[in-house]
Amino acid sequence: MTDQKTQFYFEIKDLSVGFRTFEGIKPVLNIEGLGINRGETYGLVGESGAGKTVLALTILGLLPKPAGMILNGSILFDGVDLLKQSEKQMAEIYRGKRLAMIFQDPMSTLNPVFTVWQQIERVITRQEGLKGKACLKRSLELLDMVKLPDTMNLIDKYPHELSGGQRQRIIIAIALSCGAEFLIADEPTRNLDVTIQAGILKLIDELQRDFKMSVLFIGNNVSLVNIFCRNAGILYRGKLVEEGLSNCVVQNPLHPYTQTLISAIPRSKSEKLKFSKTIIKPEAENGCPYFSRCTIGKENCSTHVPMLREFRTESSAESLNDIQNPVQKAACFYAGGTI
Amino acid sequence: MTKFILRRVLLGIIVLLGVAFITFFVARVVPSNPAAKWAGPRANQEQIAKATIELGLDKPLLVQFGKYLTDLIQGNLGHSLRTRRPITQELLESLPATVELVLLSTIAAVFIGIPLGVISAKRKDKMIDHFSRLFSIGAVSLPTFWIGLILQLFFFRILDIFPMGGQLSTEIKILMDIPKITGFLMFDCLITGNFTIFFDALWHIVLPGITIALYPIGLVARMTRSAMLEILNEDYITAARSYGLKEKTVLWSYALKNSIGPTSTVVALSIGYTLVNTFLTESIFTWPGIGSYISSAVIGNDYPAIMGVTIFSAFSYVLLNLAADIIIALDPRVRT
Repeated sequence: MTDQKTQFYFEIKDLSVGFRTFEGIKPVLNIEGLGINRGETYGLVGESGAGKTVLALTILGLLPKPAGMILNGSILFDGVDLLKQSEKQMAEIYRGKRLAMIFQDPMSTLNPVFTVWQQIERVITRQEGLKGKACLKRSLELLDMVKLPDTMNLIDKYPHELSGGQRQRIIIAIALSCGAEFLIADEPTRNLDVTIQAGILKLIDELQRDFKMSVLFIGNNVSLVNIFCRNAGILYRGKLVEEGLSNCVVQNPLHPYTQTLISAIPRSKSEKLKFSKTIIKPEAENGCPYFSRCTIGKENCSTHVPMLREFRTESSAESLNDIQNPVQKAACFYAGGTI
Repeated sequence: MTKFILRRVLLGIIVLLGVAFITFFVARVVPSNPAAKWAGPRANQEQIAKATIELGLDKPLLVQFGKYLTDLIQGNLGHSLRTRRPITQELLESLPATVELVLLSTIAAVFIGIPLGVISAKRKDKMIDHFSRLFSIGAVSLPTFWIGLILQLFFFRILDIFPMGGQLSTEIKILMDIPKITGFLMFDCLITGNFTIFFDALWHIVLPGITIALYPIGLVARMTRSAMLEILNEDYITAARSYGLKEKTVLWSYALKNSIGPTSTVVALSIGYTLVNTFLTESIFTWPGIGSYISSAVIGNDYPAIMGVTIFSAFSYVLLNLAADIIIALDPRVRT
């Protein structure tokens, strides 16, 4: 298990991203390590503002410039550091071809003044060099793949004539048009109805299996990630606070933040909802990012930043007997304690 | 789409009716006696009374307005009090020279203003952006007559590169046979292959052209820049980049088409403004267009001519806005 670190297909090491503001550079993302194997799904969970989308944009090299700055670290994809690639290399070799991204809001991801066809055509022509009839054939194939009905008719419509679910399927079709190996799904079901959400998730799951893609699934719903992903990471204020097999993380959360998150999931009607009793303490500038909301934190939490530590959990190992020694990591001095 | 255009045309007609109504009644309220003017400087009471009947000024106002409207629909703007010639004919004679100027400045606004705006949005806060902002603000805020005078001072008086004014050199006007087919001088020269006159005309249009074009270029550049800045932050632009599309495609096609709404409105409005601006510029550069015509009409108290030019300006505004609306309707969300 220890030498796995070198084998990751996609790996983030000591990544630190900041935004330039009037008061200087504000760090927004600080990830010590995150690895995804080929064909694996990794679920990244965090509340809004945790830095999930910033991470996605950083991977693709699309951070808004000049405000966004990469301060440190590397993102290794198939052995190549994406952060060291030039803008031209990113556009020509990686984006669209090998890395794809599904954006969070289907309502604003399609260009409103072009028809579906015009938008798909451009990408296919650019990436695969197909033109005319061949391009149309490929587009229809893609729309079939994402299970859209009546594709011939649909292709000439403008985005505002389509429903949210239809749009998201088209976005998925465009993103996957070039057979990307690595997909970033940034809250792909946000702003969609629950029934449509399920359909979209099922679709991504199927496509992931069919194409053997690695997926970085970003969401704010822990239970969704548990169903959908093998591994899960919990992001809080730009820092990975817990990581492990999603099953373990959900069943046996170690970090107090994860525990709060999980206890907030409604399970049955009779059960009283547990909302975290948020005690707002002063921010610990040099300490744990969760300090101000933590209920178990002690003195040293405000002065030292906890690093990700490995924990071995017996109970979850039984339920996942195909995996030996599942490793769960948490960044907390008192991980495993109860809140 | 047809319904959309029809509705716009109808709206335009209503606007024109309003303008006709206002110009007509304002002209009647203005204290001047058109009949006396028509009868001539040394007319006696009898002659003036006769002129009053001849011009229909003795009839009730509403009847006069009705006659004015019917004439207007037939394209008859009445007769000039100074020259006693039909105003429509006089306008059509001076129109081509003005249209040449306006057309030139519009082409400049589109082909210089829009790219300048796009580039400065792309390179926000870089050298080119600062330069373009300085240029736009200067171009919009400096008064036209001042720019005209300064250009004359530099390029005619000091450097002596360009002529001071007029549409053609005097020698050419006297010595050469000037082609007259459409009335558009440069166009006529081109189709008859008369390049000597063409280049002379080109040489003459440079200074008044720059004077008039600066404002629309600045305005369009500024408007395009701000529209583009907003659009470049949209999700669909980031998404387009994530598909690996070329930056060129993203900028000049994906983003620019979205900014066509505000940009074309500004282009259309600035053409209207330019038309009014030519009135001043033409006097400075002695350009034989509508501007020169209106200034002599105003000085000569020739109110039918003034009304004619007003109606003509309003008509151009309505037409231009109609064109802008149709261009904006390229955006599928606007169409109804």
